[in-house]
Amino acid sequence: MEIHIENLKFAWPHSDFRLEIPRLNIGSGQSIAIVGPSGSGKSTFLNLLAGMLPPLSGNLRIHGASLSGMSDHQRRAFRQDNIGFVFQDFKLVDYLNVTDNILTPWRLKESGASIDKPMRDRLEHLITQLGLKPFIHRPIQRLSQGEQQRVAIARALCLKPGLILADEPTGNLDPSNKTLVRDLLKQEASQLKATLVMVTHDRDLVDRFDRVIDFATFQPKQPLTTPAS
Amino acid sequence: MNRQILFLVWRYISFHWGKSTILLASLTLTILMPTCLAHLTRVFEQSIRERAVTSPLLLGVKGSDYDLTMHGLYFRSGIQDHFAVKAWHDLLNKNRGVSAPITSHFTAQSQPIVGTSLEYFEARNLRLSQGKMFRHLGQCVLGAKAASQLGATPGTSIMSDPENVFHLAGAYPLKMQVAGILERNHTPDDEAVFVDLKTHWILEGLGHGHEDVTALDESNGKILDRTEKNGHGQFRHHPLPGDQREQSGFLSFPRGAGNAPHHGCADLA
Repeated sequence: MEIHIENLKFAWPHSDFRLEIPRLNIGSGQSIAIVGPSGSGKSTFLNLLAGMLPPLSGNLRIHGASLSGMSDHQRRAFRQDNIGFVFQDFKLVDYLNVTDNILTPWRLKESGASIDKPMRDRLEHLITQLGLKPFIHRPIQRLSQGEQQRVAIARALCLKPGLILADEPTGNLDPSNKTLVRDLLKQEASQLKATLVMVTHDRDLVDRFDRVIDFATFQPKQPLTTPAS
Repeated sequence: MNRQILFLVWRYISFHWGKSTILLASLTLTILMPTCLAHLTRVFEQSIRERAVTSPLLLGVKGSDYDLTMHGLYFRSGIQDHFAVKAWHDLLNKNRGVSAPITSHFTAQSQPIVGTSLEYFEARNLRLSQGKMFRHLGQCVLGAKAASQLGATPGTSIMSDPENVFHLAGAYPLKMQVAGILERNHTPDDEAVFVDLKTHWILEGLGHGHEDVTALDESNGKILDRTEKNGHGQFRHHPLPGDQREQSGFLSFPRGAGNAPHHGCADLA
């Protein structure tokens, strides 16, 4: 799933923060590591890609679809169909156990159907791959940070998305698990022929990615005009 | 709603059962309260109207319809103006139907004491379950609930409540002999202490008996009738019940009027 960005601008109202990307193209199936100092807009960029934030101006096209021209409802539908997102703070649902958390995107999409065999196989595959088998029925609160991280990754991969966005998915893991999660994401993305965009602070992990983008280069010199101002 | 969303809802409710219970109870109350209040209001209105429907005509001096109705039908509220007793006698003489005076200014342990005539019991179709109808000054007949509240049986006595302890010239409590107890009929009559109009006048200090009314000898002729023997002065010219400010009204059941309800105020005085 290719991404084309042209003159993309974003700024938070009543804030000095601003993000300006003159041009950026990411090819289908590529794996991209995004690095940069805190506050440089890495997480904001992922939110823009996921359609959770509307850009201030510019053009953002994913797989030919222009997110800039979509309504909130259309962006949500597009995200549901095409994007898997691993949030920095997981955003797992506290009243669901591990299995149900992983199945949440499927439940929201296939609302009327019962779980079919391909979905059961997919669930089994993810649980095995991410080492979640011992606690599939455990409540989320009783998992460690690392375990919750893996559940969040499994949920993002559940519907075989064409674009995987991961916001510091290795932030809470020990060094060996960091490499494991990165490799798993890369491997899944490769199997699905999906584009992977991963934000990380850890420069040791970026060597296996196709490209590394440093967001320090996207800090504009002049402030942008925000809708509120 | 689709199955998967229902599943998520169910899991949420199961997990946050305390919060959900409070929320559900609040929503239920919010939705049901107007419905229940509307129902209760309807039931109350129906109950209020039922008694009004059985009283074809309620007469009082010009003033508040509401006060007259509450006073005449429910023995509650007070009305300041009053009829002269002559107006009632005139109505009786015209032979236009059954009419009964209603005056209620006193209580016996919070049960309203209602001064009326025997016509009232006939018109309301009230029957005795125990004892006899009042026949002497100072006798009373109790509604079923009043008898239970006062713990009274025929032959025992009850006291009216003092109006004002420090009002030396005012009405004093009267010891009244219980002559009988009415059958329960699920109306405000159940809560009333009925006395003859003249006994009510005595309660007000407008007249008094010459005997110990709790130990009357029926053979001595002190039986209530429509004469003025039992009190001082000419009761015929007293207002209902006296020329002091009092509450009074008529319940009138005109002949041939059927049950057509008609409530109003008329200045007959």
